Amino acid sequence: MQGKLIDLKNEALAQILSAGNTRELEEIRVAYLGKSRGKITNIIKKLPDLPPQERAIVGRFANETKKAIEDALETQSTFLSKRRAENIAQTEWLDVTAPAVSLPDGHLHPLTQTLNEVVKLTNRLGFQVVTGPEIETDLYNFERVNMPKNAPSRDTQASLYLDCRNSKIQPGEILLRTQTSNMQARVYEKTKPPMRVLVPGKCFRVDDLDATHSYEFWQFEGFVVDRGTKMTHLFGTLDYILKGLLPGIEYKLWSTNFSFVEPGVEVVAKRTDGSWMELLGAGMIHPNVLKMAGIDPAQWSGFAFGMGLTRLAMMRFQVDDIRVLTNPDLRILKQF
Amino acid sequence: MLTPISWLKDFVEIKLPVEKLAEELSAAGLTVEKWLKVDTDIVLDPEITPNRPDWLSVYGMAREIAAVTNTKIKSKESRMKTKAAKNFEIKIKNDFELCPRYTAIIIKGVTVKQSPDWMKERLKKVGLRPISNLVDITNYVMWELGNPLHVFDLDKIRGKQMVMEEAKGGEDFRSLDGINYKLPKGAIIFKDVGRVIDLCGLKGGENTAVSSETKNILIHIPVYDSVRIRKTSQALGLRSDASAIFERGADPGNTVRALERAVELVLELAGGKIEDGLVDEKKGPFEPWTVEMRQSALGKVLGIEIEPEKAADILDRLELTTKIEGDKGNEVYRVTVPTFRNDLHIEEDLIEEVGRIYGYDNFPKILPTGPLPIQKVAYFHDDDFDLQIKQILKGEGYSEIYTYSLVSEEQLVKLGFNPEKVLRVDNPLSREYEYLRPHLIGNLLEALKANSALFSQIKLYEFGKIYQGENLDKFSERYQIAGIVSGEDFYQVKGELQILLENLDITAEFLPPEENFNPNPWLHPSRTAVIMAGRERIGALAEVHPQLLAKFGLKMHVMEWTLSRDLLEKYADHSRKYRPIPKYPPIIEDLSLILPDKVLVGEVVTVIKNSSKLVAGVEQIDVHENSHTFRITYLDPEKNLTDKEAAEIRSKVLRNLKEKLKVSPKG
Repeated sequence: MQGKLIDLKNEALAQILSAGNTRELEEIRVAYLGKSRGKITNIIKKLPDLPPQERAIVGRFANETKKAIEDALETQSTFLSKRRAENIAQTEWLDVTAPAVSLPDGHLHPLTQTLNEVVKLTNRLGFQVVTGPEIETDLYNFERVNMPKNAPSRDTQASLYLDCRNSKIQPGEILLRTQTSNMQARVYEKTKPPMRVLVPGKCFRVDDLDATHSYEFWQFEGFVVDRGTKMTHLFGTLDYILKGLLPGIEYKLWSTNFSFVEPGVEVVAKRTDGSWMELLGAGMIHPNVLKMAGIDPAQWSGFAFGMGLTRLAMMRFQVDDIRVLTNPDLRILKQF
Repeated sequence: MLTPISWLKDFVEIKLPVEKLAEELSAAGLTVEKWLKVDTDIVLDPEITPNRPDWLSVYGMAREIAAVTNTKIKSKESRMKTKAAKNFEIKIKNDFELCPRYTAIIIKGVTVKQSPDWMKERLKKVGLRPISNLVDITNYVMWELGNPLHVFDLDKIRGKQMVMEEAKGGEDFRSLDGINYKLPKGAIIFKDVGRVIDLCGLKGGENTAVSSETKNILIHIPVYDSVRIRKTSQALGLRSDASAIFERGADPGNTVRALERAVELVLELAGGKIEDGLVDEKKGPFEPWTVEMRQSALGKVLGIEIEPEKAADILDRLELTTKIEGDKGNEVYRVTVPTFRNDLHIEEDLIEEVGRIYGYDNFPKILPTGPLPIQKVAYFHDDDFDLQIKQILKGEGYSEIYTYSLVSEEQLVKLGFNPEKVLRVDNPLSREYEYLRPHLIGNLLEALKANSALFSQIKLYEFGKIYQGENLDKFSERYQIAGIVSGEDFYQVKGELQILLENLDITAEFLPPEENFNPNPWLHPSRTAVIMAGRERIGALAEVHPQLLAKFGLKMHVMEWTLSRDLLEKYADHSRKYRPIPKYPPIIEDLSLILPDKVLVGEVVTVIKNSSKLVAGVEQIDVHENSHTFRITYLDPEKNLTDKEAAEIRSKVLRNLKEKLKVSPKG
């Protein structure tokens, strides 16, 4: 029995010394010391069959053999890991420029990315996002924002009206909203001031479809109603948002006329050629708009601003054709 | 409104270079972004906002330039003075409803000839074609002073009468430029005896137009009701320089002065003599009115303090004569508003006048003060939730697209919709964009098709509105999220959706469609799953029917899915709570089962799970023909499970499978 142990020990030590890596060492360990079928383990398992005297001697010897093999495994393992560390630069070289295992590459649309920036900036100022109908009545789209029927100001917003076939609706009553301002009266009806609201959404107008025009486009509108809201607050808010969205922007505030504000202003931004481009319209909410909504203009005042999200996205990403934003070509989408 | 600088200089001194002038005017609201050089002159091309008809004239522009550059406007009082007519030769029957002010005069013995060069040149510069001295004078005076006027050949007016009325609709009218019109109902017209002689505000009639033989004329300056002019203009699709002014509102206080200017030019360029005097019928006095503005309101709206002297000076420059009353700090401005400023009626209007001339770029910029409103506003939309969905889809390799809401009839028919029962635009721009999409799948398929030549794996989605309902009495619009995938199989896409739903804290199941499920015709009949949360269908996943793909020219397998944004939000349950990890080890075993035809894996899993509380997990790990291997985890949170206890659960599992599904273990 002892002889057999000596043979096994020598055999094991020889194998250990010639082992070249930790995997081989583990195989050797299992072969000799493995719990179920290790050669040494098997002998130790048989010890109880031996007569008591022999059992003690062989038992001690077996344990010593086991210990010797364990030590050798440990020594060789340390040696191997040291050797590996020394040669790792050569033996484990990888070409890191070789292609990766491809993972799915998805993309957020530039309009989503741009809107998200708008939402983040306005959130910090306490604005809450609302959405509402695109299929809208003349009342909310026009009349309640101080654009009565037959007002010349409506000429700037030629509308797409819905076919009222098979319904009780009269022609010209229901249209696709031309502006996100339709949500002003809707929100006022159901929310008491103070409020800070952001309305992003799709709008529709009769227009050409070319590089700079579309009859479907995205807008966002912000409005604030509170006690003591002033024009300087409007300008502060616009400044904060514009500088956040378009770092380095140079802009001016020009007077203009929109029916639902008084006074009204527009922001014009400097083009690279030095000329000015209209960027957004804004103003103090017209007292008529507040009155129609049941808000007392003597107590409350507010401002509103509206801007083309489509145009903003085009500026952000230097897109020169509005149709790019509705083109589903992956060669475009993968750029964003 | 083309405006030559040389013409403006008749009324105001202009020292600024045009770039600077344009910028200052634009800042004050008179947007001048374009101008052109004509010889040595510069012609401004401003955009006029609808509220300022007074800017639709050279004099009105000059007045604004004077205010903005703080110079004096040269008054242009007519040298011609007229008196009221005693016995006007033509009996005018005016209607104040249609025309609140009507001013006219007769001149006899005129000579029709070409206008002098200076007038012709000016007209050409502003885009008008010189015709003859009389016609040119009416155009010239309108351009200069902003009141449209018209000249009739007096001798062609029948029965010495002109009667104003509303067209009944359908009357024939031939304009002086030889075009025939059927008049729309409600158009303002002048008739003589039985004939329409003027389509008011839009075009004069051929039957009473001046010609080279004309000797005697009637010139009138009406102020028509703007709404009727606008309606007629829209109905006929006809716009003129005059109608643009009438629509916005011609100055009713200026008719006499403008007519006198015209008379002055007629006598100078065509000769003749005034017959009798002036007819001037007016509904009201058309005098200036008074609007009050409080100093306190000025600060409250603008947010800056402007000294009363400064504010009054600005108003005076705008010809808004101002008297300040009241104590310091509580001053009230009593402002006299001239008739050409019909846009100024309330305090806010005057505040704007002060603000815009003061210059908004001179205002400080302050963020709104006071506490943030914390109440949730009506129509609140959780945009974070949308973005979360989009970010997860991005991570799964989906690219987002935005497409038009309006689609073609052709697309609807391909998808199997009846266009008669889809919401439609009455005045579509083209047949390509006519119907409101009832589903996102059509545009997604077209997008897939557009990419199929260059890409084999395509994963697209859109997050957008769909519009459902047969007609305007019952319709809805809601947000749908829909995806389309080629290059992956059903189970890969199912996995993506499961991850999406788990990330959104939604517990959902993918099930075969219910009995009453009315499938969209583009779904593969036996490869469709409905996605259920609670008892509601929140979406669906399906392979697209090969027949539909063929209609779009697609040959590969294509998966599509839809989710309702609002139902996702409804079932997102964020009430996750921590559970301690189990103290005792589980027993895990694999069970190979033979599934009879049409027995669903989902059913097997449910039966196994429901067999004992101690079944902590079941998953299918392998399939070979009808043999499915499931890995089952047994776990008792209270103590160590023994092999014997596990064996008991197993036999119960097998018994249930046999009884409920006729499923037995393999071998």
